Formats: sequence, C-alpha cells, structure tokens
Amino acid sequence: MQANDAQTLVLCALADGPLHGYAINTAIEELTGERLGPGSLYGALARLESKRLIEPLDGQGRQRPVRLTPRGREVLERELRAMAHVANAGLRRLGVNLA
Amino acid sequence: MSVVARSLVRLYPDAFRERWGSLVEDEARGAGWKSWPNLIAGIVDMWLHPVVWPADSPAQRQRRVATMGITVALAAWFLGHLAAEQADPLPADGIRDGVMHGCTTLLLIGIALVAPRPRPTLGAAITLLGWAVRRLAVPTVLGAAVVVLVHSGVDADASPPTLCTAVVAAWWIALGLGTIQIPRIFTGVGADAVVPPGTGRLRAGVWTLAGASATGGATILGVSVTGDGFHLLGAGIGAGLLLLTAVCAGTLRDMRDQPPAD
Repeated sequence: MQANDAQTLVLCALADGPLHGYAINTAIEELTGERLGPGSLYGALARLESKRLIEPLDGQGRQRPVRLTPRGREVLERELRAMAHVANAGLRRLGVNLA
Repeated sequence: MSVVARSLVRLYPDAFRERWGSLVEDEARGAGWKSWPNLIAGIVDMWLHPVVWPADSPAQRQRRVATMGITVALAAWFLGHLAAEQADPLPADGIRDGVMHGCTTLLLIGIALVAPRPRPTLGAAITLLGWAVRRLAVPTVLGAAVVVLVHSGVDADASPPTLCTAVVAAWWIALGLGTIQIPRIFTGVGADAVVPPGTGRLRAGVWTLAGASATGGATILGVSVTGDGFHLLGAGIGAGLLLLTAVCAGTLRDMRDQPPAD
C-alpha cells in the first residue's frame, strides 16, 4: 500500500471509529483535499472487506457503517509505521528539521 | 444525470451492486458527470477481480475464480483459433506450430484444474444438463446451420461475396456465443450442482492458464510484428492473449491477499 492508495486512505478514515461510505469520503477529503471517485471508494471498500480488514455493523439500514477489524487496525498501523519510517529518513536526508 | 449514474451502476456485477450499488449511485449523483470515468474504471476493475466481490463464504469466491478461469481459457482458445483461421498470411513454421500446440495442451490442463466438478447426484446432472441446453441452444443451432450449409454442396466461388461473409460471420458468432455461454452455465447452476476445486488446485490452474496465454500471446505477437510485414489482426490477437495473462495475474494476486479460512 502507498500513502495515496485508496485502501490506505479508507483505513485511515476509519481509524477514529465506524463510518458509512459518504462520511468516509468526507474524512478523506479533509485528509487529502479531494474526494475519491465512487469507483475508487467502493472498490477499495469491497477489497478491504474481502481481506477482512473492515466489517459492516449490523442493523443500520441502507447506509450500513463499516469499522476496522483488529486485523485491519494491525495492518494499518504496520503500513503507517513503514510510511513514517521512509518519510522521516527522506526528510532527514533533505535536511528538513522534523522538530 | 441521475439516469446515467443509475445505468452505469447497473453494469457492476450483481454481488457488488447488491452490497454497494445504492451508495455508489448516491456518491456518483453527488459528484456529477466528472465521476463517470472513475465509475466506468471501477466497473471494469470489479469485473476483472471477482475474488473481491462480496461473498457469503470462501467457497463462493472459489466458484468465482473457477468461472473466471474457464472464461479466460475459452477466450484464449477463441483468440488462438481466430489467429489460426483468420490471421493469414501469418508466416508458419514448425517451431511456432509446436509452441501453439503446447499452449493448447496447457489450456486443456488449466481447464481440467479450474473446472468445477458436478456433484455425483441425479438432480445435479439434470440441473447441469438443463442449464447447458438453455445456454448453448442458440450457438449450437447457429453453428450447425453453418456446417449444414457449407456441406450442402453450395459452391463458395460461385456464391455472392455477401453470402460468404455472412456464413463466416455466423460461424464466428456461434463460436463467440459458445465461449460466452459456457461460463454462464456454471454461474447459473450454483452450489447445488457443482463444487469448485480447492484453493491449491485453483492456483495451479490459473498459473497454467497464465502460462498458456502468455506463451501464445508472445508467440503470435512476435510473429505478427517481426514476420513478413505487420499483421494487424495477428498483433491484436497476441495483445489480447497477453491481456488475459494480466487478468490471470490479477486473480492470483487477489487470491494471495485473501485471509485463510477460519
């Protein structure tokens, strides 16, 4: 996964708690400045659900929210740590002060 | 505008549409026409990745991989047959013929590995037969009509060119319809009549099909581009076979990403 990968963005949006599709995209817009297209957003949700990184909450009607599974939380944390490691190393080499 | 969005959402696979369709439609309607290219890309993406469609069980995903495998194998067979029959004058030589025979053998092995097995019951056999008759009636009748016409003593040289073209077109339409309809038999019969192979066997089958389509595609494309002049149809068929290889590679990656069954 990469920082701008739709699946990573969806997992990040869900890190705070369960959201439905529209709210996930709003959270992604706050994070990146633009919304994902509907094909990208729901394609990412379908993939994440098939990998059991997210799961739907029961009994919420048509707008069923989804949440991270423990496995999803673990994968997100691992990916973000790897990204942070690369970002920190790159910024240090550029001479950017991280403090 | 909402009519277009709704029509596009209808193009998604049923399993995806039932789970996410109304939400995709709401999002597309809100975003307007600018979202349509992304929506179309998403539809193509989903059709190429049946493993990630919402499923009730791992077995349902395996059935989809099996159907995808059969579809790829038949499409590869169709393209290979088209190259052999219609892509003249592709230069022929013993090595290329040997490679293409090898690809056909690999395709047959791949089909044997990925094909769902009928359940050993009379009910399953009747269901399967019923679906086969329903799905294959039209291409079988069309193909048989072409064969009867060609063997009825009609002189091809004395026939008007339009009749010859129509007969050739009808033959390829019959083969194409058969290629489309055979996988639809397996999607129609469902779990009551057929059992998908296990994950290991499916993986081996998809790898075999990928190898067959890659070898065949590279051979036909190479001959079409480097032979005596550029052969457009041959090059298109070679590229098509290589695209099928990419589809197999995507399916293998999707299978690898699936968590183990609980």
